[in-house]
Amino acid sequence: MKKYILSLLLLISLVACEKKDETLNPGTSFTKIFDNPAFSGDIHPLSVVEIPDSGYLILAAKDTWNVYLLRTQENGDFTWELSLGEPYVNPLSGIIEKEGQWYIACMDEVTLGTYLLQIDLKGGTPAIAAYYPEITYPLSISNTPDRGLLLQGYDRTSRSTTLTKINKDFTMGWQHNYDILEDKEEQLINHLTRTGPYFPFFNGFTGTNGNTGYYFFNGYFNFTLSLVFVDASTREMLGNINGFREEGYINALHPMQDDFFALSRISFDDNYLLPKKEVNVREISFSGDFVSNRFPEISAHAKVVIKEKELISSSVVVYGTHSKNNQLLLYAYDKEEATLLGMEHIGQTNPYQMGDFIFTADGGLLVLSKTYLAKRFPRLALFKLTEEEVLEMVR
Amino acid sequence: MRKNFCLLACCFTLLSSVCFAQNYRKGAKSSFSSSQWYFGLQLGTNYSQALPITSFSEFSYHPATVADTEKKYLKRFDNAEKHIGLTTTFSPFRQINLSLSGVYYNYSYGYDTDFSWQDEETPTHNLDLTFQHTHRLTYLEFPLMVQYNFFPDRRIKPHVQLGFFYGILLEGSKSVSESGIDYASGGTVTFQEPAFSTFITPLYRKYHMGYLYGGGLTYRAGTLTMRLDINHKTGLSNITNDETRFSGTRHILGFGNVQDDLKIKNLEISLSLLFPLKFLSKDFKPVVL
Repeated sequence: MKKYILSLLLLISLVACEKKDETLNPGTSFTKIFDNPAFSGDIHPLSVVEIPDSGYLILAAKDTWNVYLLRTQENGDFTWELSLGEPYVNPLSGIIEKEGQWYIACMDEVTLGTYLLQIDLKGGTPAIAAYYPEITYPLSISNTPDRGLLLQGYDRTSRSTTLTKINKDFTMGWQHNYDILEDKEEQLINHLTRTGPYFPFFNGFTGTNGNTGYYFFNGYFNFTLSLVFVDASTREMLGNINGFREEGYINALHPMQDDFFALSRISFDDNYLLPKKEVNVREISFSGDFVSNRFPEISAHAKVVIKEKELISSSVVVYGTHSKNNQLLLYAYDKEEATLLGMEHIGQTNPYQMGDFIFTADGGLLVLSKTYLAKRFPRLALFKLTEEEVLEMVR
Repeated sequence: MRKNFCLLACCFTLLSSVCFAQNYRKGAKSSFSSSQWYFGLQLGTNYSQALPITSFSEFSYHPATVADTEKKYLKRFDNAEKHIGLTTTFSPFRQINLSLSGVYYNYSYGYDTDFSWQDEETPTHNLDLTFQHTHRLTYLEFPLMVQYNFFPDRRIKPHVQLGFFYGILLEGSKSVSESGIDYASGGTVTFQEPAFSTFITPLYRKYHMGYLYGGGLTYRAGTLTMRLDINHKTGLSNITNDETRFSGTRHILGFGNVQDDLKIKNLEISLSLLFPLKFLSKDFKPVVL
């Protein structure tokens, strides 16, 4: 009898010791697909940024090249969306933050000039912060260390790629042309309207300030798609990595230190990831000579995004892209050793294509992607991975 | 794990004490014959109803009014399952029984998620999809109950009972099947995709607990005692693991896989075959209270 009562008391005490329910912060982990009942329309995710303490802002191109913005709450729930009408078209990848304000760049449908729009985080119509008629066919934008901007465009008259430095007060600094030597307007129109191949135009700066680094842009130069390095003082070309027409080129680049880069390249339908590649920026080279493992699982011409993050006292370089069966792929490499630390596949059964990804303030990772509901309706999708998942990926 | 071990050790101690209690004594009235132990097999069927506490979805709709985002949970009697286990009962008095069981318990529940898209230019061009989700959970449960017997002198004794239970999750699985009607591809096409099944144990918390109440009948047929119970069980804890709510569902086919926070309500019908463990003679005449 005593044993029986003792056992019952033990059981009751165990039950009473059950761990108190702990709830996970809803913003820590989520999946969100932004659906609507419409049949028509297409959407192309471009960029996502985290608005401090208040969710995320997504930039996309809707119906080939219209500007589309979507704001979410911290848990990924829809807050507002905004489709800009004419004349704003061709939004560039990248949402720029300057002194607490958020900006995007896009093109004027008629004049082909470039707008810099200031976003109203409450969902109102963006204000025109600047308009640059001299920058036609804008193709990419980036921040510069002196809090200015660098804009890449195409000059149909001189058949050249333009690189334009914008000062921090949004006035134009310098502009320089890099000759293509043939007309690329048709290819660019097909690119912008997504009626042809979509090319990875981008630009940036390698150093931490304007005195020690150099500019680079990925675009048309000397007949072909090339990665061009530009002297920060003279704006003259230092060297370049030639591609092969529109079939072989660098499709993502992340400057590390000195002349080391994490990059990826494409050769016809084959993808190559080079997590640590030393490039002599003062010579002319050919991207096809950059030897690396081929990644046959990566979809041909898939978007590749490269980001760097300090994790567990070492830096990792993370590649984001998607596979031939439309899974999102994340590859994490040790920055110094260039060894693969781990990978993550997202979306085993539903199709997803990479748009962008960011490391979030809580240590997690947010992936912006495109999916097809019911195999036919394109929609934006967000995946938020927890800090534990990110750390698990690199262990 | 440590908690599991403690629970199992507790049950082992309990059952051991029951086994050691098996004995017989000569003489009619003594302290020995004032109580009885029973040990036996319990099996039965149960019907579960999922009770969502907070809803979650991987979808965010805009405009928000266009979609019915709710999961449509199946009714209780659509979710039939089985359970089987061992039970021991101690009768310290004629009208009171204390019962502890260790039961291999299956729960199931299901829900549907509906989706619809419409061509703005041709409103008759629709696509309607329904995903049927069926979840099956297996727990090792330990219900502890106090029973009160009415009419203890009768051969068939009605009783009521009250208690609580504690469960350890052993396995969780789900299957998703997709069906729909496509009005937009040149006709009216009805389709049904094959079901996709997967294990989802990490999507649930390891433990759950709750209370139960009900009643039944006890029938003594010679040495053997049969007991029929009908109990209503109510979970007190959320069974969903919120840490894996989204990360654990990314690989599952279909839409609407993100789990709600939910409790389980359950109606169980059990039949127990009980053997007395205290006998008055070597020919197995049991102590009858």
